[in-house]
Amino acid sequence: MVPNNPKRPHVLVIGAGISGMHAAIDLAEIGCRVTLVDKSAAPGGILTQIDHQFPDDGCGMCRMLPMIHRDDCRQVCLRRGLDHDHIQILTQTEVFEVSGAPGDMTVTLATIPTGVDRKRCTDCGECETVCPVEIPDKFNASLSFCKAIYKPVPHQSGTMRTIDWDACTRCDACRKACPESAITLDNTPQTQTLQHIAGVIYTPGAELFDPSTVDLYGFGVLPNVVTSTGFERLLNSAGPFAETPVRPSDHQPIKKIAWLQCVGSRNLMIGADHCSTACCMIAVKEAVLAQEKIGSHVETTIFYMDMRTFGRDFQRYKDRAEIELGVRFIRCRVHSIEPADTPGDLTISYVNKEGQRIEETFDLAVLSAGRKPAPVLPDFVRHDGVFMTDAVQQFKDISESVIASGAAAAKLLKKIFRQTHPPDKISEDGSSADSQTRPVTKTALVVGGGPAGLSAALTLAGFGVKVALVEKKDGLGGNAAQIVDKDTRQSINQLIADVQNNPLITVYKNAQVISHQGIPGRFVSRIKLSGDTEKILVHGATVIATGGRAAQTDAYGLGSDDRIMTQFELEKRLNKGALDQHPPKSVVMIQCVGSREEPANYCSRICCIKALNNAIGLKQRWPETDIRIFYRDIMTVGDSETLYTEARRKGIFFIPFDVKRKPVVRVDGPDILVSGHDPVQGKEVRFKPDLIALSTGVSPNPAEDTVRIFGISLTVDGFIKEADYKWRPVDTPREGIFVAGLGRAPQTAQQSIREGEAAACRALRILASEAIKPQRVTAVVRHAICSRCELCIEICPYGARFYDTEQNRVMVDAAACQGCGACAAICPNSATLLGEFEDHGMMDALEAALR
Amino acid sequence: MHPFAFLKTDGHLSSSVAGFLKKLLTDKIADAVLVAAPTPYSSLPMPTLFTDPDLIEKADPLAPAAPFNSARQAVSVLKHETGKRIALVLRPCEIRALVELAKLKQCVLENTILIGVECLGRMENSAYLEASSQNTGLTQAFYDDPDMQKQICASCAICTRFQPVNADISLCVIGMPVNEAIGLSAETEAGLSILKQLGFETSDAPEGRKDAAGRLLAEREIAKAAAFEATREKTDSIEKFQRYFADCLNCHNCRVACPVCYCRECVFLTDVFAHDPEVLLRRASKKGMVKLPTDTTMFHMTRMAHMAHACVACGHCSSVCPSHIPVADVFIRVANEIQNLYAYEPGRDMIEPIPLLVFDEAGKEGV
Repeated sequence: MVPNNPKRPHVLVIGAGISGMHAAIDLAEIGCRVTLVDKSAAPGGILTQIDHQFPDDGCGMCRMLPMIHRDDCRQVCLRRGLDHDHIQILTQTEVFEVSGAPGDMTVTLATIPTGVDRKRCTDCGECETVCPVEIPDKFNASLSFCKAIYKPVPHQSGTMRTIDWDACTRCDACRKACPESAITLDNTPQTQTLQHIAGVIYTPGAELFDPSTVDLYGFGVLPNVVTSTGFERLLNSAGPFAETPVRPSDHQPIKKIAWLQCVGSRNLMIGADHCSTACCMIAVKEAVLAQEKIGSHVETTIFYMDMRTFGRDFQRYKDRAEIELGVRFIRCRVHSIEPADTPGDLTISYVNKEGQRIEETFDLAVLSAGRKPAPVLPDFVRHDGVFMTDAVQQFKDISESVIASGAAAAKLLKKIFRQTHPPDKISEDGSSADSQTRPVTKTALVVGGGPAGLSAALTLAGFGVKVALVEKKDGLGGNAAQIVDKDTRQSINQLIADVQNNPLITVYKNAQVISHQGIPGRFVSRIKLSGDTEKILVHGATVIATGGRAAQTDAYGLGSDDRIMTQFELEKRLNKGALDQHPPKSVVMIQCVGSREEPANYCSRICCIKALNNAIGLKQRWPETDIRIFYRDIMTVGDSETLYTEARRKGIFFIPFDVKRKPVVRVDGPDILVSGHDPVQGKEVRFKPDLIALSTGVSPNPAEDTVRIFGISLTVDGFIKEADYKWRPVDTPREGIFVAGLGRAPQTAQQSIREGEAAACRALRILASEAIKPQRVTAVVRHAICSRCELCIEICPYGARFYDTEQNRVMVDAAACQGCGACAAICPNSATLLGEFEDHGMMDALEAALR
Repeated sequence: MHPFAFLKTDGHLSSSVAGFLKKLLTDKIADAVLVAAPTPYSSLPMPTLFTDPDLIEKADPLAPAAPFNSARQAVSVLKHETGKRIALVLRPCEIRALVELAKLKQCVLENTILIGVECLGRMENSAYLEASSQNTGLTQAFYDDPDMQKQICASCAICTRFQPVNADISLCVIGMPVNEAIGLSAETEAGLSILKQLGFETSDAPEGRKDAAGRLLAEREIAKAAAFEATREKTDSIEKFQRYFADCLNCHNCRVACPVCYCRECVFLTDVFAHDPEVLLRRASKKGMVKLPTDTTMFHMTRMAHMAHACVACGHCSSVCPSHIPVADVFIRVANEIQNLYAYEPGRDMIEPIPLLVFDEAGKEGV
């Protein structure tokens, strides 16, 4: 139950998937009380069914647990349930109406009863035993059966049974069998009204596409055709085939698996002009997992159109799957799946690289069913005070969900803060009650004045926090000068103006941070200002947004001929009318120039969209112009897929190439020549274009000094490394230091703005507290037997330990310590202990285990 | 090849080496020298910290004896920066242990001169005392007499790292006419400048040194492989392991002698293992009896888990065992496997991270 604490603003979060849970946890940590509602029977969304996430093939959801006020929350696996003092979860609940102004809204909810009184139920399971109705178990993707009274997510501890009212025959057997009289067979929805709601976050998540509507693939008819969620369940040790993964039809071992991508996505025939974003990497991960769980002998093949490996280390993960593990990637949309002659086997016909039609037999087919086309949103989402994680429903990578929900939470906080706190009322420093409790300095340092830094600064100032914005150059806006798109430019200019006009934000241009010390809530930084003066800044948190720039390359003759240019340059010329005198009759574009291969083996995110926009722009001006785009995989994830569709409709030609067989550009007297291999025609093609545009991508600004000063690190590609790419994408391993923007990962300016908001939201967990209290379980050092080897300092993932040279001892910052126990594990003589977890307990457990 | 100089011995090996060390003090190259020297009461050489140039004439770092691994004693004078420049004359295994201890923040090596000794091995203390009582010129005799060189202890007989690494200067005996001269190899810039300051001319090392070292290495590799196999057979099950350590008295001498067991207080001496009588009675009642003291196997296994990556194979754990358990044989063998697994060589390089700190679960299957 949520304590009725009037000091805490009450916030409603709709949708308890990963986005909703993340927003709820952050908001609760910042000081809100949260009601989290979901229309399904259990919280957790799609990820309750999926155990393994790339790139480490583990889970890691627990990394979202609160870290500053962690005693407010039960510190257990989040997949087993979220149990937080300030979060109330209502399942089987839908929101009908939202009214009132932000800060004091009224929300009407309707909850369908589970039929089981959770206070009385002892989880004895008698009801399930006697229930005569068997239904396909949705949790196991209908690969097994459950009763009409069932546990929606078996591994969740808080969730008791619920009744599937559509299947229930009202036979009364369960009610009679229940020894606690906990069951009532009444499904009348209960309506309730929540008042004084400060704001609402709407994060409905995606509904997955049901492939049984595509009859060519036989889903629902052929038992060995499963969805990717079904395959995850099939591999799961608690899934339908607990012992070893087998194929559904005859429980025979699985030897050869095919994945079919884009089922229900990127399909105009069914009105699905979108990419479902996450399915490519899910399929690659599943192929890797299949080898791990079933055995390396399993043959795995992925049929795809474009392999959308757009995020951190996605490309490397895919390369490893292909090169080291032998996962076969075939670029082809499969026409159909037919039953083979041998029972249970499946015949898949496809066209290979050489254009031949191949029929191949598999014993399992996995359909990568993405999201359904976005449904019509309820009216209340347009109500003032309702914040959405996305403009439409999306099926996203975890990392992007976490960032989007952080950004939505930040917007909500800004709004409700303005309603309730005039900015001049905020206290400078929190007051401290005892020596263990540390006051928080309500000032933030933001490093970098690009879109991410600007939006982070504004979000923080919107919450009444003073901000010092340090920019290396003498202007704000980062790469804004190079951005041609009017809307984006305008929104950045607006950010600059807002920052300059905000009395809480001080901008230091031509300035650099030269040292940074301290602990969350109280850092001390030295800033070198122009004219060689220095400023000491005391601040509670830091956001690093050092940005990036256009990648430099001389590939394909760039720089050697005026007609060979980057997409940035083409965009500029197109916009300025520089091409109008001699409109190009023929244009060749080449994608992934210097990226997605070592040493810069990452997707730059912006180039495909820029190339398509430029190509479409050219076609709009000069419809007769021939445009050919050499590409490896077009990365129009999500709804930007419509651009790709439009480009093809406009008659732009797309020629795929392999990284081992790149096109060749040659300047031959007055001509520029491009030659390459066209796999569709199966032959060499040559073009003599008037201009060549190269997608050269982005690279991070050099940040070696930054990471040294802040005690964090870089990825192999030079991006600032976050604490965890998926679950804590805008945190750094050091609590109190956050990261956002192009310096962290390739992204558009709009994404950077969102990321700045998300980073600010994480910083507010610290800055909104008056003081940071050490939590219950933290590490302590027994100085008398400590050898001062400092292994614990190096191993601590939270930077919570330091060597006190005055006292000659190793100290623990109890507020930063998360009680993980890494120090206790590496300490050879138990000179460090974790709270009350002493060795005796472990010894007793060992002794009990030994016979 | 490192610059090489000759130190004439002319039949007086020990005093020539001592004379070289004396010059470090008289020429103010070092403020103090830590080197093994017999005490006025016994011929057994003990690590001794010299500041008086006259007294250092007794030093005998080439004596085939080492009552313990002197890295421990080196640490006690290098605990923190003192402003004094200290020269340390150490065996290869002692330098390796010292480097490990420096990584563990137990000492600072910034202001030191490390002088390594090419080590043909040490004799057990009792054997050395016996031999030196009959032969006052034992050090010289040891290098002259191949038979005597076979009297080294078991761990030295399988040692393949007998040439120092990370030394500024090495005292070289392998492939040298020790009667006439030994070598001074300058292995760092600092080492070379000291040799120059002392007026040594440098040249290439004499021919044949490399071959002699190669021959010794080949012999030792063969001996090591055979010893590992023999030990493996004796310890390849928990039952055999317990038999191997059956006579252990839990005296913890092995851990005291171990140069890389750096804990101020071993966990086995803390309250963690100070069992209440109820615990002992409970354990006894499980099988009807319990041997006291308890936790013998656990002690050895835990110590192995803690130090195997850092074991420098000095063998002192065997030498100090009152029950004559060949402790080192099993520790060196296991350490060898662990170190191979992590491609880690203790003492090889100051900047090589300790495996525990960089352990990555992926790719380390089969641990």
